[in-house]
Amino acid sequence: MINTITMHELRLYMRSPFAWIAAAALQLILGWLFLSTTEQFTTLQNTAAHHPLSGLSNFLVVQFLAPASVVMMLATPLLCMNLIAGEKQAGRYALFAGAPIKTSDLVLGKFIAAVLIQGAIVAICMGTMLILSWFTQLDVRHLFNAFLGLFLFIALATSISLFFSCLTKMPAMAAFASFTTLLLLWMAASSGASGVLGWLSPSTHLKSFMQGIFDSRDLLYFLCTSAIVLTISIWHLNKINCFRAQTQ
Amino acid sequence: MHADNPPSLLQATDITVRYGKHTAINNINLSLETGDTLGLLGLNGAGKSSLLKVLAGVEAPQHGTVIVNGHDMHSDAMTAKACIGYAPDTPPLYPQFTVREFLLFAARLRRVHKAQCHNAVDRALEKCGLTDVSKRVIGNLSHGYQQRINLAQALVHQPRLLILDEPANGLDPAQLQEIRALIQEIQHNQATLFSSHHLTEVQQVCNRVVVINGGNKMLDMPLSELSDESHPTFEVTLQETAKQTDLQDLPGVLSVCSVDSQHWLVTTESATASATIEKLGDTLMARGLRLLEVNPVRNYLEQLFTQLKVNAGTTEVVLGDTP
Repeated sequence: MINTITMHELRLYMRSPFAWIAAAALQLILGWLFLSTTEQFTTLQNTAAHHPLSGLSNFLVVQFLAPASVVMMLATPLLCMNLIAGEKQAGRYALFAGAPIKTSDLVLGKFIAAVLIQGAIVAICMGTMLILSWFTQLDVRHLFNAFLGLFLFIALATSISLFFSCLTKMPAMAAFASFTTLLLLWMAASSGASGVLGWLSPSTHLKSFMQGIFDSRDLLYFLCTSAIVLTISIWHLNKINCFRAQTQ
Repeated sequence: MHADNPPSLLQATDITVRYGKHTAINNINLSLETGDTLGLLGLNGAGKSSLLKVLAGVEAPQHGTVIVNGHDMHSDAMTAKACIGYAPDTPPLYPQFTVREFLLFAARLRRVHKAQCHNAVDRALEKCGLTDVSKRVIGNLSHGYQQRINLAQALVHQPRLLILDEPANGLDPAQLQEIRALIQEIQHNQATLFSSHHLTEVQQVCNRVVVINGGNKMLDMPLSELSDESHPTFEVTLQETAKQTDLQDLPGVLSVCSVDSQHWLVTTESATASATIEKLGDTLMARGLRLLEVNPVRNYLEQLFTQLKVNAGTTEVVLGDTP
């Protein structure tokens, strides 16, 4: 059933003008960011002609992939706001709630579709970066780690956006609430907060991926937080439409 | 479970739904047998949609149980929901999909086997008169067609129980006739429960009627008994407020329905009707209640609805012929 819902959601994205416009806008922003990064690197290399710069991979990660994660932090709430809230607003949620499917299938199906769509957008960026490997040597392992981090961050942002989409009938409200939450979590680390707040921030864990370090604790952080947020979303939807045992 | 006493197709017990402090459904019991077509009547805001959502398993009540075809909606929700086809008042459609694509998705959601999906969709398309528009995009179709697609998605998996929330909403007279014919056609081996505020529609299609008002069930009766002249009905107006028991246990009284605490619809035995009504004033006086007026009711349902309408101060109920 998860597969049915995922395929349905992907078809919906493919036929939604909003999704295409958002994807095109993202490609434009990320493409421009990529071009300016490579141009910046070339300029710096020319000015330091006698001491050729090394570490294009590192440069790309710092100047391109790290800002790309901020761009995705803005884009994910917009791409995910309709997942449940849109169905409720259009009166289509009854189609799912009245069908013999588990709430977890519905939530996971929609989550996977949203992650795949965003993953595809990011994969195109990965492709453009790999084109550079025809002309110069890249640290593919470093880039792969950075992309994995970005992908995991997108998964977490999607689960948070999906959660807010479960709470309301208004997609705009869901987008605004998820963006605010993501921004606050992001700032929790950059404002120098230590302890639990700093640990909770996804940027803390994204940092090591961006440095090319694969730390299983960071991987676990992203997987566990995403799973916890998805579980809360499922629990919330179950609370609305699942019959409870009668106490009398 | 005995062969001669099969379980009800739908058994809802003590259903209570609250939204905050507002009680939308108050302790309603309802049962439905195979072959029944039950019309759920009520003014707008009476609680019809809330009740149907609970019966379809879309919303959970604060209290009560729903058993569909022997499967409890709490402990065996998947099997219970598989027996139901639900068409909500707002058609749950994707305007960017074609009719066939949408129905295929609806069939998969209802766990129709992948290999049988196309056959199931073809059957639903044919039944609802949608074959000609099956390749058209839903968003480009008229409201009447969209209402038919709503119906088709509810019966694509051939459910035992069909729940339709205001299926006639926004349809023109010709489309209304088609929908009525369709509901009558799908009665075999199934039960249909649909809500409406069109009296005529209910009288033409149903064999049983339930009237709810303010979340309370006011009437649950076979339609044949309502139009049965052997059980005359009177509208009784009292000066004081009364309880149902004040009138229910009067000699010769068969049933009592409350319009409000001062207006009652009293059904009596035909043979003793005159005597019962003659004695009504004295009997009530003995109970401290003053009788203001007694009028014979020619059309029980219509009378009940007229009173509900007057009390609610609304003109939303359609009496007589539908547009």
